[in-house]
Amino acid sequence: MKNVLKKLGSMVITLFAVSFLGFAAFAVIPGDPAVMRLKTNATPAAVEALRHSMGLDRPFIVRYFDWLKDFFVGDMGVSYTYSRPVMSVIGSKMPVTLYLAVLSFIIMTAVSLPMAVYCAKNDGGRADRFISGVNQVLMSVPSFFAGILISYVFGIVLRVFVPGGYVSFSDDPGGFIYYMIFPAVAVALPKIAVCVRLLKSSIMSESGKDYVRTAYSRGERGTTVLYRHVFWNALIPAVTFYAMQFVDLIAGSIITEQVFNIPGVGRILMTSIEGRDYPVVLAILMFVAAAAVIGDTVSDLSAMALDPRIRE
Amino acid sequence: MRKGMVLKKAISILLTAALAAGMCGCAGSKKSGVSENFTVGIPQDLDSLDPHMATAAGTKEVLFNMYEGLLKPDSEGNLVPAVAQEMTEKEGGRVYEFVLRPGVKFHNDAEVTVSDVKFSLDRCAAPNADGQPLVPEFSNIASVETDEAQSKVTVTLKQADTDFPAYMTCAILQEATADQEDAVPMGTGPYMFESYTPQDKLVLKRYDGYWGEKPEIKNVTFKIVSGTDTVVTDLEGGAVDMYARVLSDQADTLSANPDFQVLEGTMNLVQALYLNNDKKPFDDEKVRQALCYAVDRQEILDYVSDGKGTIIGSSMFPSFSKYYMPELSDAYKTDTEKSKSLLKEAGYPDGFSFTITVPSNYTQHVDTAVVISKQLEKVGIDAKIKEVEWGTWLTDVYTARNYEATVIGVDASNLTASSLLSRFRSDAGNNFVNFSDADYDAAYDKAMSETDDETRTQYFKECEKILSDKAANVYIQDMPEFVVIRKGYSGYKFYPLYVQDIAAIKPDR
Repeated sequence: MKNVLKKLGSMVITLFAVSFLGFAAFAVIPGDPAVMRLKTNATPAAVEALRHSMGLDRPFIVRYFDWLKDFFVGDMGVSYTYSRPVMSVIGSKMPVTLYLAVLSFIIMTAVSLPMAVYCAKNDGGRADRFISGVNQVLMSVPSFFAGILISYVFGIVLRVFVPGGYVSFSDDPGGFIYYMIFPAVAVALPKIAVCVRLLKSSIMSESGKDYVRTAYSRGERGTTVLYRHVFWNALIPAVTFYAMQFVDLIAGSIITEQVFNIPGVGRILMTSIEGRDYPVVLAILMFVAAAAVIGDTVSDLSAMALDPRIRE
Repeated sequence: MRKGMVLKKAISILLTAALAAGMCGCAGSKKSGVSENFTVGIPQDLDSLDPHMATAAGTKEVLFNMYEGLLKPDSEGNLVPAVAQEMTEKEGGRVYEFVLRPGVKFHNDAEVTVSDVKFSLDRCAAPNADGQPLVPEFSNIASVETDEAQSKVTVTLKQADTDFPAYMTCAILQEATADQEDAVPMGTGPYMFESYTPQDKLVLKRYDGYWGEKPEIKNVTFKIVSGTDTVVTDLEGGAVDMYARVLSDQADTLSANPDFQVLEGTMNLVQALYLNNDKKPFDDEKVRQALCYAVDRQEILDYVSDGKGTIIGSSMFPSFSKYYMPELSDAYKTDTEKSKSLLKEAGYPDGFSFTITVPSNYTQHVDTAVVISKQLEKVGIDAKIKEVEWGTWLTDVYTARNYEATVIGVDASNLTASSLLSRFRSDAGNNFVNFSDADYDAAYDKAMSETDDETRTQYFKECEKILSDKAANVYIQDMPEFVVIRKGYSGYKFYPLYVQDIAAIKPDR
């Protein structure tokens, strides 16, 4: 219980820090929201008038606390670009990005678990060496580049999907689910490589421990030892790692959306930064930060659940 | 053993599910070829669906399909009657009378009334957040009167302005529905609103009650694509059928593809190395002229766009044929010696160094800056290139005027000469190059107060000549525009303004 409270406390502090830093970053980077709204109609006089009506001429700290006050009552403000409440702008985008992240998480887990076990079982074999080699390459391929390759191979050469031809769930649920597989694979690929490597080494190090020798000496067969004892103990560090990967997957999704033309959080984040639409950017920042903090907490809690030694 | 089994099962279920999901979606993929549905890729989201509130040129060119003004521009750069049937100019351009065209309907089938017109004009004349009317030129309107019986609208100006019809392209909205305009656009154009998903797409369908020639393409989707990088993949993969303003190398790639046609027009931009006339050494006319002589425009065109584009010599592009002066494009023939001697006269025998600030999102402008910088080396000038992001450019360069030189393209917001020339008046709010010349101001003011069209045009030409003589900027070109359309469609029209006229595009029979 004490642990959980501590966790919650650090969550709140983290979110505070993120919001302040985010707000401060916008005060520092060049580019004025009023100018962005007026675009080439921006004359010094018009900018001054608009800055005033947008409240941008108030001191930074006043604007921050104003924003914070609204944030606490669930008001994310109004988008500068769309002149609509921020939640109505990004609300429909979040499920898209979350779906992409969850789908790539499923793909990552479904592929990396059996692959790691297989590699651990056949350590040093031809297949293991091959997989390790490929993984070494995949690990260094950024997800957007994997996305470009996938678009080219499956979209232009094999024509199994229309690159950039995103369809929304409400238009065509089947088409949406199908289309998202390709970006999800792109996001998952580099992560699969990392996970296989981590899980395999975890299994290998568990295999060398005393209790494994004891199990063998009891007369259990190799497979049984692996699945019954080694795997579950090896999973403890891996679970923490997997949960942390989820945050990375959200980040990866945000970037890969650009390649696959997916109108999710990533797209709106990019255009909002370009357009200096701070209310929208801050809302997304808080969303991603919350996801990171929650992912971190979940990974700690699941490690506690799996490993009695961590519990108090 | 039990735990292992569960895990195995779980994984196999997941994999089967993923596969099954994959199978059912296959039907969704689109075949290339002509259909009733046409998808146009656009590079950025729409800033508003309300035509009066939209400021981005990229939004206006889309909304053109849904909205009309009393007049509208055609592809030749003329103003043609639209919601109005005829326009009469009185008192030397101080009073304009419009008679509405009978049978023009909004997309909810309600006929346009004179009070809708008055409402729309008043809406644009009302001051905005920045204190300016939505259409700045509307501050000149003294009154808008309506005569319902004759379906006539009379606009009286405070001061005569023969350019005024060009602003009458301002969209006519329905008074009853205008407060919902951003959510449910309601215009009188050939296409009507179907749906809009921010950051994703705008779907339009043909309006069967349209007063004019009805378009052939039934459904149009404007799909927001991530950026210019994915354009080729989006076209080749079949996600979009058309994309305007692809880059020169993308046009090359796509013209080799038998599924596409690449059309070439002009961007209608004045691309130049704009110089901050207030900053040393550009406050010296001789230095500016030296730069003009040092630059080889043809070489820029060759490097940046395979030799395509039109070399220009002042702030006017060829589509505005009435005002354009082709002779100015030869005003400064590349002449390194002359450039050097001008620099010597100005007190810079060994050249100098300065920075060209360019917006990094415009590849063509960045490339142009690179070529210019190389060319200037020959006369001993060291030009550094600083790439900045668009928001920074707008703030620092365009608004704060805190820069030495920049490469950009300046467009015209309407079909008047003043849309290109007004910014060089010494006191203009958007005079981002700080050009200041008493002769120019005088010539411009004469043009604006003149009501005789020919004399007025002469004054505007005088303005162009002054910009060239004084070397206000190093004028380069009106850039080529490449539009890619899937084969099987024809009739695409280039406009001298930002317009994508989908109604003009027809599937081949």
